[in-house]
Amino acid sequence: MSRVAEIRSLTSSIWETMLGLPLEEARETALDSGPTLMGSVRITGAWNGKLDVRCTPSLARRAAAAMFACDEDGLSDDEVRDALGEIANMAGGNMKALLPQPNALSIPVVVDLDAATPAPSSGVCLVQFACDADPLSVQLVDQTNQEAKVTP
Amino acid sequence: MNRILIIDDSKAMRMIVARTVRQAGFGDCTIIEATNGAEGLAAVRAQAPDLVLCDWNMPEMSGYDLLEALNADGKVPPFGFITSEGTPEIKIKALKAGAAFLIVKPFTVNALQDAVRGLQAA
Repeated sequence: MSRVAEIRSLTSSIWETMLGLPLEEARETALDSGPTLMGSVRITGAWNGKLDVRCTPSLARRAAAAMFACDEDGLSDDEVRDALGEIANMAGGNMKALLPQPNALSIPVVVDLDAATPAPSSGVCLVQFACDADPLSVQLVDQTNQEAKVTP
Repeated sequence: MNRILIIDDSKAMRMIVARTVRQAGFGDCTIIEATNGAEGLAAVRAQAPDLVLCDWNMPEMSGYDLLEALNADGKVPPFGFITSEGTPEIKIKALKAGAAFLIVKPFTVNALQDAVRGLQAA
């Protein structure tokens, strides 16, 4: 299975099984044009890099509401971030098992992005989805060779 | 089974695990929560849960380190991991340390039900 197919499969499984939110694959997303939340985990070891899950704040809130089984309005920003972090953690943990071993998974972090945030220029495997009309992207950034250059 | 301790640093995941526990037929149990291994260790020592459902990768103290600490105490309650990390190496490490099962996220009600019923039957 190709890396893109692996990301597509594990992401769809997480969103459908744990959130009850089916995804459709998309050719492009509108994430570069507005506020975006990104949940990210680092993978280090025989393979070095990170997995990022990016979506609109509204989709992050919708996903959090599904995880907490409550109304979107009842969620705090911290709860929305916690949910997106856990989504990234699940995706990263599943991807970690498919990468060269041994490796370790970090604790997830969640950050706000804006249109000025530069995207990684190389080593990226990007898969884009839509949940209804809301865009979502998952990207695996391979930094193995980059880190080899700076590590004596 | 009276008390189930759920240990995960994600509040959202603790909610999901608790909900799945109820859906799996253990709705009469009291749910106790802890946010990392250190809190979980204190909860096990203070409240003697009948089952521990624990994440692997957490700040402060990991799930594996918690299980090792319980082994050092000489008293390990029925213990299962629910984690996004499901490599064969981690599963072997978990089982060797005394875990009864390891469920990989995302998981279903049936997966949890089968694991806990298997533990009760053993």
